[in-house]
Amino acid sequence: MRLLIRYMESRGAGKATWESRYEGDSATIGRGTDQTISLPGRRVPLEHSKLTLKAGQLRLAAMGDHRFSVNDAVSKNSVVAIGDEVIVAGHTLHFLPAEQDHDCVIEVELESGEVESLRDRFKTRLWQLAVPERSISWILFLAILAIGVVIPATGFFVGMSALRESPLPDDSLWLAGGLHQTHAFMGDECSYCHTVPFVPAKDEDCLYCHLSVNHHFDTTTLGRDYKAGDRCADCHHEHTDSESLVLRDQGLCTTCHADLGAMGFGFSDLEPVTDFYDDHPPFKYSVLAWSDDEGWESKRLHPWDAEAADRSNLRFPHDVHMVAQGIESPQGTRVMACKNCHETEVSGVTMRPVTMERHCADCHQLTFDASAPDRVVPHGSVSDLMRTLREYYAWQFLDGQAAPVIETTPDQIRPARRPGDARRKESIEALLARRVGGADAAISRAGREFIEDRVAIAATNLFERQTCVVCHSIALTGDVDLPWQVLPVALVDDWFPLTKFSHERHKNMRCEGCHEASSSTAATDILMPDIGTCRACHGGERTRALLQSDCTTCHNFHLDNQAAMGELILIEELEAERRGVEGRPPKPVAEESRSQ
Amino acid sequence: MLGYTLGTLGAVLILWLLYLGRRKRNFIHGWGTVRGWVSAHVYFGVSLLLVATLHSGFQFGINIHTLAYGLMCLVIFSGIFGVWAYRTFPEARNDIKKSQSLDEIFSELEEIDANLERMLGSVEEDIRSVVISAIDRTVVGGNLIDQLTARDNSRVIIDGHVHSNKDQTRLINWLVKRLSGAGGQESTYLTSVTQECGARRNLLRTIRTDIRMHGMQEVWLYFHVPLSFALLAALIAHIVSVFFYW
Repeated sequence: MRLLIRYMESRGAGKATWESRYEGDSATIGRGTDQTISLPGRRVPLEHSKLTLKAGQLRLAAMGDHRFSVNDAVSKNSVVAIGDEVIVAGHTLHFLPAEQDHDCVIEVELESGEVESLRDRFKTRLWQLAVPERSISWILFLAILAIGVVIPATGFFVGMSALRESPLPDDSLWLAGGLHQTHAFMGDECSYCHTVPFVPAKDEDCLYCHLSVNHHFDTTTLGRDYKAGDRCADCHHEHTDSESLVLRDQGLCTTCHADLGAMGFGFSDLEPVTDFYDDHPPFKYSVLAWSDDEGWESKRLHPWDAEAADRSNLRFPHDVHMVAQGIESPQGTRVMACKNCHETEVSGVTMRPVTMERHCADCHQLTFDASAPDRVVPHGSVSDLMRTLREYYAWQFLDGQAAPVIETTPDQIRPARRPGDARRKESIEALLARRVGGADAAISRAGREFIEDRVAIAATNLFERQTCVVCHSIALTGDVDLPWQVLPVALVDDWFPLTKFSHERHKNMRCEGCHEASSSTAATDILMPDIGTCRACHGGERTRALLQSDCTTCHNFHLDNQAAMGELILIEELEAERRGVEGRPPKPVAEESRSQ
Repeated sequence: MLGYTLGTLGAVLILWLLYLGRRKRNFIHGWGTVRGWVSAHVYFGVSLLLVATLHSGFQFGINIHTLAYGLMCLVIFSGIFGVWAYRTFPEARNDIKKSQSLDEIFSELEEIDANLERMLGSVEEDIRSVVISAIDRTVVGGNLIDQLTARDNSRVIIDGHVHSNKDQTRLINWLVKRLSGAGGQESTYLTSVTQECGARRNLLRTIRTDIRMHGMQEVWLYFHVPLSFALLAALIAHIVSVFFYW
């Protein structure tokens, strides 16, 4: 197939014409420069159709989904005859009779005039919508900057409270989290704690109210370096919406307590600790010991130390009192329970002291004379006791009711008075006879003898046989007037003074789970648990099998026996006052909240 | 301390991520390739979500700090959508257009329109006016919603009334109905016209799908960029306010 291709294009008033020749089996039509008939224009596909000559017939076949029209008839594949007019993507191809040695002449009328594309009539891309992206960015940037920083910050110059009262955005936008309920009274007044802009809240701002919070150690000798954190806020995080203000991470404590020596506290007798379950020293008991020079002194002892005993100078076998079938009491058989003597304070933390009057006197009555079972001696002072005895027997002598002396031995049960029991009256009659017939001196001597005899018998019974000696250790003094001495008594108030154990929080447990009282035969037994007992339930900070327990579960950081952290501030303020410098202004909202 | 470390890291990341907008305008010059920068932009952007969430300590409220966090999340999620869009739509668009450009498809549509006009010279006047009205009132694209939902607002006028011609359905139904009552030469012409209108419908579907997909491919940037600047302002406010009341 040999083709002569003649291109014609309108250029202004004239027309441009040029020719090209083709010789081959199939001619191609399209926009591509490799095409036999190359048609310009972005609407023309790169390859549009193919022209072939077969058995003397020219055949035009479109590729893909393209189409063309032959003499106004749309087609994809068509025979083309000489004289036909074919339109391909707007360009007109005239098939003309053969010239010279060519099979066919194709006159291509190039459509140079750009008609408005269909596409141009519609907005088919987002960028055509001309969204003012840059302006939106600037507006958002400036608006947030103004609302978030610039306007609230002007409150620093014009007064925050004035700004808060206006409808403009204020520093409440800056509040990262709510205040703890104990600080809620401060309301929006950030400057209570944040006194200077761009300076961290200072300890002084906390201590302004918390003057009495104690130090952890003696800062006068050890300085004020807390190693794990220098500021109150290092352990007390505010604005966290948390129920607790205390950071309980045990790492804060073990910074020093893992190795006190390495941190410069080598003089301390505290043993290293890193975790309650894995690495905590055994408990020590605070035991009281008496010395005549110093009185009662507290010593911290391990359970296995020889000295570790409850040296209260009392006799009290728990096992006797706790027998399951009960014990005999003046009111009948009584089954004792721990709580009969051991009651918690209202706080639920400490125990009320056990006292003779509240807890023992119901059964252990201080009677001294079988013939007067309703009379008791006072508890507490030997001299008071002796005076009571003398007064009683003096009265008995004067009242003429001298009762017979009933000798008893420790083995005997004191005979109780029975109604209608005939009183022995011989001695009274004899006394009366002596009084009638004798002189006053004789009566006086006889009375003194009577009284001293009776007092001696009763007191000996009390101190050495029946009553006092049941519970107390008694020493003989050799003194005629006060021959006995009750050894001083002290019950340990707090066996573990460095911990805060709450009985209230453990009330669902049996007492005997920790205190083995029913098998204790002597008052010297220490019935406090060891660390193993606690570890049955309490694990370390991160345990998954037991109760998670950190240092602050049992220990306080601010120790009662240390100086108040606010002392220095008080001193500073007092000095400032003395120098006439104006002190810190009062915090009015705190006052208001108090008055509410 | 951990909080300040994470916060500093997050702020540096945000500033670096924002700098991509500057870096990509210097395509040739500068350290690394823009391609590398975009890749790092994606990975660091996603990691910022982790850094900032840990920095927040999961403590949220109605304040400037949570605003900054929320804006950052919106920016990051719009960016993640962008990564997905750029990995999905160009290929899908190429497939539905059978590797043609949208211009080529419009060109085909114009050819069909031209052909129809030629063919309509020899049919009944009512057919001619209906088909011409459908061509004249064919709509593609439009506003943001039209583009993103490929909504078809095309109309056709039949018997003097304007009807919706969504997906050219009304026109084709009318032509088919008209065809059933026609005979002879008119039937042949009507068949060609109907076929052309069917081909036209297929092209319009392709165009609308392409517009919708292209819209989805680009629309996230209209959020990503302005929100990034909003985030920058909120970040400044966050940092200044935190240290103002330190």
